[in-house]
Amino acid sequence: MKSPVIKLGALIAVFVIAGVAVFAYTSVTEDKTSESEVEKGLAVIKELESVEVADVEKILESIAREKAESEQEWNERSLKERYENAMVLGDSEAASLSAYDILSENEVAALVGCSIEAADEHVQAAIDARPSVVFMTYGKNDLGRYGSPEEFVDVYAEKISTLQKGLPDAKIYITSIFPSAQFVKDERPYMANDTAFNEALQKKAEKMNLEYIDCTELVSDEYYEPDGDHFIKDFYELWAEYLADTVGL
Amino acid sequence: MKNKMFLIKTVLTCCIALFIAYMLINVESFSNVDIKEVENQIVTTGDLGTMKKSNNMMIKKVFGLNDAEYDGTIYYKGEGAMDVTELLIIKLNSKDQASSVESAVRKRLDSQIQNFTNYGTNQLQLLENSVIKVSGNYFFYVVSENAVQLKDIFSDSI
Repeated sequence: MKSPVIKLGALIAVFVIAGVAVFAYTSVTEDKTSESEVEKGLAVIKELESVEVADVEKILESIAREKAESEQEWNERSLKERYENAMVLGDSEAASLSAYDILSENEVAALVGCSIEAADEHVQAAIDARPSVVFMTYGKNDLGRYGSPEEFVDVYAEKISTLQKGLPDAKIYITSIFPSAQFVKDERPYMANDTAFNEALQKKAEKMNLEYIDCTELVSDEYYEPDGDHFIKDFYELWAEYLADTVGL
Repeated sequence: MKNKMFLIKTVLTCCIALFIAYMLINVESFSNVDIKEVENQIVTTGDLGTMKKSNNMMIKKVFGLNDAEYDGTIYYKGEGAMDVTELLIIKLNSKDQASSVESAVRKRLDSQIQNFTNYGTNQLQLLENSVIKVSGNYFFYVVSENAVQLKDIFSDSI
């Protein structure tokens, strides 16, 4: 007859094995990282640091032009290709360009609801990206924030100056604020400030020797979203093409 | 003596059975279901509304998460800057990753809520009714009118 102690020991062993088995079943593997791959990547980045981005862009553009079989082919490039060396900064209007995949994510620095006061992050993003063309498209979210259009454009001018210091060789364009639909202006009277703000923007751009691009004529009722503030995808494509054609991207 | 041994054996056996049952119920078991199968279930049986499949670069841009660190990722997003609907599913390599993923998603959600606070109430309502769920080695996040339906499909598929 087997010792009771041995039987008890066997039961305890089953207990322990069962617990270990359940824990083992829930364990997972660890990820792996190759240190040598990281070192290789860092070496490449260090090499590229010594090259001027603007020079590389010019070389790439001339190569691309040569490769295009005809001027027509050059002109039929996609919007993303045309904006390769450009960047659009702004609010939800600009954000729609990348959100609708009209432009690439790295061609847009924008945030829904962004005012010109909060544009610093976008300005820095542009400085870091070093495009040769920058479109600044702010203003829609500022129409009710300032006592006068002049106060607004003074803040705008500060941001432009920061951008100019960071990108001395880039061409900077200021674009008009899009009007909201009439029912929006009726509900929120400050949204009717767009005309005065645009006039102030145009004057400031001239004073700073920058080009102001008036896009308001592109707007028609058929393009509005139901909210009357934003537009359908077709409009943003039209806008991106208009800007590219105007400056010769 | 015999009765005492019988009692001890019975009690121990019950303890083992209860312990195993407890572990199986309460320890989040890891799912072996392929994330593509989870995606297939959601896409074929759920209503994604205006959401379309997005890419890994967007996961990095929107959430700051590197998809290479996980076993698999799926991201669907509504079109247009004013469309806040989105769906993110991540198959984790380790349950330790769950808290950092959740932290990144909540940061994104808070940012969206802040951005849309001064806009229409529709977007805000969707954001506030979003669903975040960690289930074993799967992370799930959705902002959608059909958030609950999509969450249920996800839970059933893993």
